[in-house]
Amino acid sequence: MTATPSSTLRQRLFAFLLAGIGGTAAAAVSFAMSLHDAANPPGIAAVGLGDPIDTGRWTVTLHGARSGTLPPTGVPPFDPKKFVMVDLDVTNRSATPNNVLYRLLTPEPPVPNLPLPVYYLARDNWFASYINPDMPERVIAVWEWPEAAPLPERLKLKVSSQIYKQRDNLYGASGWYDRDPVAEVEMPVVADPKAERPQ
Amino acid sequence: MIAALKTVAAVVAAAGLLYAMQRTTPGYSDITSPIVASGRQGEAVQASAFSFGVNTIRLARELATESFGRTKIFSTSGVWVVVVGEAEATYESLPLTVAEWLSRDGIRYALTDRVPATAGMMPVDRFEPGLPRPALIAFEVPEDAIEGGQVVVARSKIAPLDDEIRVSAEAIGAVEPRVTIRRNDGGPPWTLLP
Repeated sequence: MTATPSSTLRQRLFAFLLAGIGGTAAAAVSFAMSLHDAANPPGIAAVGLGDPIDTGRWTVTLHGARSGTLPPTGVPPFDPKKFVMVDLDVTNRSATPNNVLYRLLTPEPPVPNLPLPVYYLARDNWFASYINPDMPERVIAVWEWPEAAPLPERLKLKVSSQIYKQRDNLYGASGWYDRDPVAEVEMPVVADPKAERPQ
Repeated sequence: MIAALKTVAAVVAAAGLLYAMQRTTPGYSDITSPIVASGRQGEAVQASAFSFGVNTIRLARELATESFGRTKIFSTSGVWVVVVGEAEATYESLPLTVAEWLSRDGIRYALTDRVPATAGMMPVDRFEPGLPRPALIAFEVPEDAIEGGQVVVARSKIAPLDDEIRVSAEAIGAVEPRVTIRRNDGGPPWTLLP
């Protein structure tokens, strides 16, 4: 495209001005929208106990929380410890077995110095490892509660979600990637007499 | 006018070519996927580093282990698939740490690690060249994933372009109430009961 003689300097300047105004307006609208989104985060659905939650990679159903001093293996720890245990059903919706459960549930608000939970398979009362696709399993999420923090009476858990990408942005490899939490579940924590350390 | 049309046609053709190339680029996991050697139950399948064959496949509702006089029972929401195979290394001794049940729909089920592995059981065993040895593998699989499944065996999960042997299951027994793995003190490391 060559500039025709009729395109004067004035016309060109006008075109530049118009493009500049348009670009600035687009940037301003985009900034305002992201500001609005940041100021009003989408609410997380409150889900009751016993209702299935679709997190992308897993279907999760929480059944309740209990506290005790004995982990599900029944082997008393060497030092006295207190545990908060949550019973849940998980179904792996992906095509491969995996054991990446530990970031699925997070207490809300966060508890300082809380280690990641350890998952036990209720069927064996032993550490859960690979959960096969499409085979529902009852598992127990066990947090070793910090010494300094009192045991909670109510527990609110945030359920995180993941999405599948056929190609990631780095290698083009397929994988599961973290997304925003999809649900919050609040439940009472009851003392479990069966999870008491024998004296 | 003709020149403008030519320009538009060239742009459209280039966009189409780029789109086709984008859609047909093999994924990273395809490029680095293992090299598969396939076979059927009852024959030894040879890959470059090892060979593997499946002899019997049994199904059970419960799996039990018997060792030192103690019996432990493992239940499942599907069925237990107990595979007795034979493996042999080709050039150097190697462990086989990965076994999977690959269903007809392409869904994979991992070698169980609920049952503590013992000598002669994958994944703890090492295989030597020239010494074919029995390999015992147990999977937990939903019942509808049995038909048309394959046993997949590989050296390691993370090595790209390594060997992978797939054996299609053909003679699968009926579902038994229980299969017991008894650990032996001498002789073969385990016996399948009943």
